[in-house]
Amino acid sequence: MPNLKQIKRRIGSVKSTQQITKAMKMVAAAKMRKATEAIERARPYAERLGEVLGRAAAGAGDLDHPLLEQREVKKVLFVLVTADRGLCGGFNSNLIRRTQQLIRETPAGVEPLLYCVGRKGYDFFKRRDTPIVEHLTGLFNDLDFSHATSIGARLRELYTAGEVDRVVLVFNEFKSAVQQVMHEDELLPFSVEQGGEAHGETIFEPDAESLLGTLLPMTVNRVLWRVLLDSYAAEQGARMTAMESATDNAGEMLGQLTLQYNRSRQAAITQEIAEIVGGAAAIS
Amino acid sequence: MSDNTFALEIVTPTGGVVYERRASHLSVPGEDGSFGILAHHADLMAALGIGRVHVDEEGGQATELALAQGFIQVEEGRVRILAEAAELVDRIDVERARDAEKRARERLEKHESDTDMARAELALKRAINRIALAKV
Repeated sequence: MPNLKQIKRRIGSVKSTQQITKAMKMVAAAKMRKATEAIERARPYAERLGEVLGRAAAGAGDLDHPLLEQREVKKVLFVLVTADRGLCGGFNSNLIRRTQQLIRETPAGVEPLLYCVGRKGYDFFKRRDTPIVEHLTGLFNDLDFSHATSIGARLRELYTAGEVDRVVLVFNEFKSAVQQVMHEDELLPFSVEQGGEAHGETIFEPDAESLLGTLLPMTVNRVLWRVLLDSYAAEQGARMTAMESATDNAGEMLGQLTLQYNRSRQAAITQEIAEIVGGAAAIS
Repeated sequence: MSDNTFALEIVTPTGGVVYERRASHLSVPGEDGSFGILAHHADLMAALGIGRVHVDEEGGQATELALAQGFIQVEEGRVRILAEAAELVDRIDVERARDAEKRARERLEKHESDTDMARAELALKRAINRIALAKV
């Protein structure tokens, strides 16, 4: 039986770990709330932009824009959105595993490329074979719409220059605090739904076709913004769950250690009494 | 009275509906120069550039906002501006704009690839626009 001092030290360390995991859980919960609020704030913009895009597309009739162009796919770019930090359960590893699978399953003759957003994905893939065309790390601590616009600008450049023929976003969607859903969504070529009745008398300034040139990049940016926010909220949700179970486990461990501690203490006392009684018996 | 005003809303991805008011006159930065909107305007869709939005509100008060890229839609007399960023003039973070200006200028001086140049130029324009409007 381990001695009392050792058990006591062990209890102390488990307790302080539990305090840390508990604090991390609380921080994650607060950050998750902030992220979900940001998702809510982004919604009206997204809805209205979608509506306007459909209207402009309907007005343009013939849809002709570099971002809509379907080409034979020779190079496919996977935009992998992971977290910057770990300690969030399977959040990063599931995404990375899925991306590896997507890369493996890329048909012969098609070259897979990577765009890593978030440190975890980058750290994993930078030592592997798939070329990384671009990476962006350390953004989630101070997430800003300009991150979405700079990723968007780069993706549009790559696509219009013909350096990639298809862009797929691999990320976790925030469903609820305890549920993340993995997605692999095609971003480019962009598919537009022509929507809304084409108001005959609407004035397009300068014309519907060039409005698409403004609206499509704006839409790509807002999709990316949503993906970044979703991923961030999902990360915090995953961390919250992971830290909660870590806290629970620590509690369980503490219970067992305390039991062990009390048993050892009891045993020590019993032994002491036995020794005293034995000693007294020897004297009399 | 109400005949000469129209409903105006400005929506951004980070702030939701950042401005919602009835207005009597609106001036926006179109891509080829600014233009004005009054009540009973015909249905319109137009791209907006970087610049100043001026609103004469119902009741005579005037408000200005800094706009960075966007879009205006007029439909059945309602006016809606979608912008990637729009800030009321008195809420502009001048320090941040100055930082952005400095960064953009540094990037322009280094002169890397053409695409980076184009982006830096846009960033510079946005920063200058914010600073200029905040001073008013």
